Amino acid sequence: MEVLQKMISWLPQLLNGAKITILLTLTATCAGLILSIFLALGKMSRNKIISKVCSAYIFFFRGTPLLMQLYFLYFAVPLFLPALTINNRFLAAFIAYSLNSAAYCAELVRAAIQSIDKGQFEAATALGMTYGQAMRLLIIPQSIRRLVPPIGNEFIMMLKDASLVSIISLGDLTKVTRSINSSAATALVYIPSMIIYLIITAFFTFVFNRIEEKMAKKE
Amino acid sequence: MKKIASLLLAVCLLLALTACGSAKTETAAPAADASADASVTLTAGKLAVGVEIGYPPMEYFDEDGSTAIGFDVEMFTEIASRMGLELEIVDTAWDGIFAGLESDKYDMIMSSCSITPARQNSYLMGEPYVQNAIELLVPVDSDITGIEDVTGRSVAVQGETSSHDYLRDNDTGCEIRDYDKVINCFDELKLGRVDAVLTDSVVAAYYLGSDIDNYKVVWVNEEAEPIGVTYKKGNEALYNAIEEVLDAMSADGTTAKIATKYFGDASGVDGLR
Repeated sequence: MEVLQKMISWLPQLLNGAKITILLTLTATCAGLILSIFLALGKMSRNKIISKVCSAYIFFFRGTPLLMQLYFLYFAVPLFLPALTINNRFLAAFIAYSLNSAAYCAELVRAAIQSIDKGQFEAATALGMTYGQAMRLLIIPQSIRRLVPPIGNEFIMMLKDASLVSIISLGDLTKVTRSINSSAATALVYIPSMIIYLIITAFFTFVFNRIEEKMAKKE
Repeated sequence: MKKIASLLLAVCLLLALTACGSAKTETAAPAADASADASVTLTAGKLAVGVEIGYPPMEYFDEDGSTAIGFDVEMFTEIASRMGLELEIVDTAWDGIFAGLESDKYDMIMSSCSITPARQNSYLMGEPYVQNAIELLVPVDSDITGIEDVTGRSVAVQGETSSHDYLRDNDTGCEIRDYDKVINCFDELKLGRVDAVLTDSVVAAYYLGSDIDNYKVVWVNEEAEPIGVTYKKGNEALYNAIEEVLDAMSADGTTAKIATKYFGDASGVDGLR
């Protein structure tokens, strides 16, 4: 009983941490997804320079740890590019996570677009559509449906990667949990904290499933 | 068929792993109780020291990035050699360093650990071997003149240190920013993202020494928090052995010599033991 009371007393702090975790994941995945569409199209572009630049971007962000990217953006960039100094910690985290997420989503978007039968694109151009029209009206709407499950997966991964922000002293759910652990001298705090993570994950899994169903009906 | 085979393989692997894990704890447990024995350490002939390397001048890496140096490092290297033990340095994150002691990851902690009443309650704290207190560092042009001025300002500390405890326990009204490494606190101060850093005087002196034009100390906690070795509760055998060596090192001037090398003078260790 006493344990339960303790856990309830931690809830306000934990929920405050959860707020940052959710907000960061939501905004960064959305921004990353938008950016990723351009990256994916760029990588598939027939223009060699655009294609190479986009490939290099994706290679860089998938090839280095997110933790290091966050350190780099927040602590190292101000030292050699003072103009790009970001003092707001949430903004710094948002930018780092968006840039990182964009690289991963770009490969998902590319796979989704390339999974649409090439004949459709050829038919569209034969009918006189331009590349942009074919993409906008035909290919992208179809690939979005195939994109929902992997994006849901990326979102859930991001939710847990959000725990890395403790290095720039941003109080997400994991950081709050760890500091309660040391100040209250009990590791029991991991129980309500993990339950909160599961609730968040369950909620967003539900949301993504609904989106998938809605999209299926349109077909 | 293939699936079943791979599943079986995974189960076997898991079993093998747990077997290794339990075997390790079994050997560790009796060694810890062998206080009456000649061996006072977890593994006979070996002294394992838990330390968070990244706290200059107390414990940090040399410029090659892999050789541990610093006041504490030379102190426990000397202790191990005087006891005829092989030294094992266990570099660990500060957040979690006490949990590592509890779970027998190392024999003791010698990592600028201040002696505080709370720690004395939970662990066996040795006698002080170097003087320390927490200090408030600000940029030279700052208008903060003491701890009472931090209300409404941001102060960087290393998480779960006695500086962090000080800000949490006292109603200073400042925004506490805690970081994993003390160097990040100074990064933030340098970039102007925080107004002050609260840290151990041993570390403050080091940063002041290298950047005296940029920082100044505006407040020193009058309650000194000298640094001591941390042992697991009830481990009197190791306590007695190590403290005796520390006394001897103090008496023959070795401690003062090491202090002079890292702090510039021996005032921090004078008259402590």
